[in-house]
Amino acid sequence: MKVFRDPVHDIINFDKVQENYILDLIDSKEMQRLRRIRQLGLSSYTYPGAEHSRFAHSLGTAFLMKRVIERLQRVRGKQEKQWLQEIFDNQDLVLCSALLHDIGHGPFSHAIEDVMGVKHEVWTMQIINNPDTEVHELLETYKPGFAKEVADVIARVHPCEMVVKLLSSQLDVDRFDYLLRDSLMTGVGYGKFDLEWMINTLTIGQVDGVPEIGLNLDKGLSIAEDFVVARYYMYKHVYFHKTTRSAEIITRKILNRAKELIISKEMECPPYLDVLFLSKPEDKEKFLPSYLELDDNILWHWFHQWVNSNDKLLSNLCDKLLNRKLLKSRDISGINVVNLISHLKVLEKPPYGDFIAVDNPSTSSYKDPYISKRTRSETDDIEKDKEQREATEQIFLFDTSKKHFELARKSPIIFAIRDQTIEQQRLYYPVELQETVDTLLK
Amino acid sequence: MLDNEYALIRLFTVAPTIEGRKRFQKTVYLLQQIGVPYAEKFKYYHYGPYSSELQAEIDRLVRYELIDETYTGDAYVYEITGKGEEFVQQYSSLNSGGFEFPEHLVKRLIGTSTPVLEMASTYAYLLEMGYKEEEAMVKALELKPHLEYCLDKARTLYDDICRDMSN
Repeated sequence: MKVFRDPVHDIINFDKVQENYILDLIDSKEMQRLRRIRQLGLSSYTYPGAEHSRFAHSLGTAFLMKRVIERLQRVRGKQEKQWLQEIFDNQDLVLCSALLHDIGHGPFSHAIEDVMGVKHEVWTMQIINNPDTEVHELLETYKPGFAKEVADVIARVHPCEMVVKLLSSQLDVDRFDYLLRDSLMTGVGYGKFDLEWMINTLTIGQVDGVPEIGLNLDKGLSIAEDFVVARYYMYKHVYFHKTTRSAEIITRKILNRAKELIISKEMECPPYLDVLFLSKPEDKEKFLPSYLELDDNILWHWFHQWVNSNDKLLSNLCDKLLNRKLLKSRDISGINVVNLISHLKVLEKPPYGDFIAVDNPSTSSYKDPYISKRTRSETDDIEKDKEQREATEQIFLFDTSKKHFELARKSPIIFAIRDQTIEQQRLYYPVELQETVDTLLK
Repeated sequence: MLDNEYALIRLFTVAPTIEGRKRFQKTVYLLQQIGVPYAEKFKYYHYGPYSSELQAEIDRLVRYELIDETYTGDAYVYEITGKGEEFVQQYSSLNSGGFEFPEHLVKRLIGTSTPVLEMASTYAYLLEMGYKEEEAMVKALELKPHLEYCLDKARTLYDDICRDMSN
């Protein structure tokens, strides 16, 4: 047994014989790169402990997937076992998909995605499907055609929906791990839930004739509530924290400025950064080797170098990031958006205009806000309305007769927050504009 | 600044109404795929690529009273308001404002039936995820056998808008 000590799961283990394909993947160059990419990017500017890596999260997700499958193997009932057989037959596929689901993340993921115009999911597909990567070679050596299957699970287009949902849905192992890990490593009090009980109450039933993993109604209702609320608070207080977002905005501005200078040939493109600044979305394959060299360390190195740049804006932005001279923020959620434009016209004048930003992060607390206002007040129509089904993957609870209940129908707490969009609307500005902002937004 | 809001409202300067959330979602996804700078993240769901971020932004525009949302019994219909028109005008005068906007393609997409948009966006999603063209056709059919009748139309639509955008 290969053992890893882990702050969330204590002992993570994989069998050296039966799960050697997982251990080989862990040792691949592309997985090891994730050790050098922080899971929460710049959250350590707010929560100094948040230095954990995407590698640790990937390992934790694969281990949790293994534990969930072990639990499902103990579910009783002939019919239930038949439904679950599809997962058991694909155990290797599910584990590999869980381990590799974030393999395409880059340093400061969301900032570089904006600069490149390529999402990390697309790089994930490239890394898994490209014959030149170690990950691809390992998957294909294990089983020909396996790389494509793993990629399909992660892209959510694999024909086995239950396998896809174990990794990506309202009740998935990725979410289990990142909430617990991010909560522990940031040191915040929320984001926690009883993982052991959650796993213990997992079961299977049918919803509209389709097998669905859910929770036992009697035992699982409270833990399901806890889980949804944990995510709600983590977005509100950690992922959308104003200080972290300020550091992210500066990083985005640094990368955009560097791109302008490199494209206009006022600055040379540093090694490996060609993928950020000179590639086009359609050139992914060509730039994959450069992308795989990128990590947090390389970008931090260049931020240090650019403090001494002749370009004052680039130098100033890098100084701000390195020395935590972050932008100030102001809640603008109540401001008339047309008036806001007039304010922005004043604020974007030199010499501070380049430091202004408006930030509107948002997510939904439980279901995506695709649920219609019309049926919200009614009780049983939600599943019937086709237009709403698009992204409303739900958490289901099953009673002893295997009747299913959607979580919000059983939980007044979840019913109350189900349509709550978690969002922030903030104006970011340098401290030098404090008085101007106070005057404009008073 | 306010780029996402502007990019969405800009749609209404070409097509005064957008009928259906699915149409809204798929149009934005297809425009993003051909290079129009929409920043929303999409995931594959029951009806193809869908973005909860985009839906949240649409809701915000409604809350800002930049667009109106009405439910007709079959679908949600979105229309630009007077305040929305003012927003577009004002935004264009910002230093950071404006971007190239393929008006004729937007018109074509918004005028396309939702099954074709659903199939075209599914096909485009598969291409984005690294499928080759012919593989993407086969996979799109596997994912949406009930939309087989519009697969060719969907592919033609996507190929056309890609070609138009690059010209």
